[in-house]
Amino acid sequence: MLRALNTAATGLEAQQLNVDVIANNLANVNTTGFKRSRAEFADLLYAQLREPGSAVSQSEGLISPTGIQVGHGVRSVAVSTQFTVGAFTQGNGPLDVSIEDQGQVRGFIQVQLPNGQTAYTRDGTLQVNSEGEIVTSSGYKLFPAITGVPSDYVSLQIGTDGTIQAIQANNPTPVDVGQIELASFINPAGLRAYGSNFYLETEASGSAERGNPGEDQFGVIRSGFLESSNVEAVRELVSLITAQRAYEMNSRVIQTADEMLQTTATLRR
Amino acid sequence: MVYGMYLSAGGAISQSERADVIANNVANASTPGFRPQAATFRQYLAEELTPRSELASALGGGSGVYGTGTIDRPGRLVQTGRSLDMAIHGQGYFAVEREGRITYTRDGSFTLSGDGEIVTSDGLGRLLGASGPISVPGTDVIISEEGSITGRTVDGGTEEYGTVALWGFRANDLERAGGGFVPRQGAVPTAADGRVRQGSIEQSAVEPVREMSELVEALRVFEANMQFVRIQDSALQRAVNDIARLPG
Repeated sequence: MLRALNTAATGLEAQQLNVDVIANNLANVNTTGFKRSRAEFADLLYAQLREPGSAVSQSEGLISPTGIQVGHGVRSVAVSTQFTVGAFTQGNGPLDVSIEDQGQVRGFIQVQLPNGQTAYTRDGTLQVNSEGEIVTSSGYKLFPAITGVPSDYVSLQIGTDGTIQAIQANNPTPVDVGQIELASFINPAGLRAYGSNFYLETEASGSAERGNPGEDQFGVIRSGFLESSNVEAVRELVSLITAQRAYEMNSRVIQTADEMLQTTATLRR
Repeated sequence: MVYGMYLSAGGAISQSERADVIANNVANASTPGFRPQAATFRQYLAEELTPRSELASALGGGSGVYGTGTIDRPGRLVQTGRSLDMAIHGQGYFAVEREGRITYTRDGSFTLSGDGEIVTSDGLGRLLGASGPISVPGTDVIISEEGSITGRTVDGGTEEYGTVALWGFRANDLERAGGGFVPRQGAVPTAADGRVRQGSIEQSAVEPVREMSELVEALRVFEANMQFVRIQDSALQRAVNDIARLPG
């Protein structure tokens, strides 16, 4: 009975984590470039109370064909991020960019964090700051930095290969400003989420491979479009219902084990 | 009556062990590829518990949990759209190498390690193909129904990276270890005829209605047995205190 109580407690904890992950997904259903996560579970170790094939009854010569193995519940082994490409929606201007990968996410825009680290993102809401540098919506510079935007620019154009050109007021010829370089990882799911739509490289993700948009494995840049969140609301809501019912079932088991313990404890009044 | 109390206690204990098994099933209602267990019961002969006694032989020796068998029913396949999620449609298990030994599992939620090997979601087990662990250059691969993994190279050609191997076992030839199964002594894997479905996961095969009704039955039979203990106790109490009281 005590084992059932603890087993059901692990089930409750697991479903709580499940709901936490689903809640985060649903909260970010409109976040540009957001990638949904899912909680992964595995069963805990088993106690071998009787070996299979051991004798059960000497007189009848019976053996137990399966043995008795009792489990201890469930544990969460991972919260894995799903790096599938979200839908492309129209952005507000040419500085809104998205990376057109097919199916699975390959390329990331590189950003320089204030502490010197390089972060990676799918959020292409770019802007020009007061010093003529291309920055993200949080104000962090791109990496490698693109700095030569002329102060009298009228508009900016970004090509499918990531080259940025500025059009000045009295100059019909576009001026080259720089090129966006992308990074890809063998296992994007291993990247560490930093917040603000940024990811950091880890040992599990593999090292960053750099290249230009449109070359090798990198998708082309689409200016004027943004990649929306890959959260599917219907799927998350169904998972939420399942998680709630599983939580309820586990709490019923706790109530049952509690009643059994209560019956045992009050056996002798 | 004292013998009877032990019979009732034994009955209550078996229901409590049955509740432990049900609790494990319910806790794993979200674990992919999980197969529920069922506790099986048998009657004991009196000879197994007490020295030779004609009355006891007539009564029997109560009951006990005999074994915990696996209910070999497949879970529902659910599409997730993730390229490294695999589900087995039909018979068979994936072989995973963990810390030097091979475990088998139906849980196909795989991911990539930093070196590009296909590993389990906790990162500790490597999926074994027909010729050892499988390495791929990225998550953008196609896995056919026979398990062969191919991908598109940069110049448009296709490249083969290996084949996912499926192994067949009878459900009761496998012993449970957390996160997978290990074969029992002497169990030999055979080739399995299941098909691999990429982008799907096999859900836990736990049936909530079945588990809940089993749980209710376990609870009520437990309480009935305990009630019997109380009844026998009060009968014994009367026998000792009232009937056998010496006058004066």
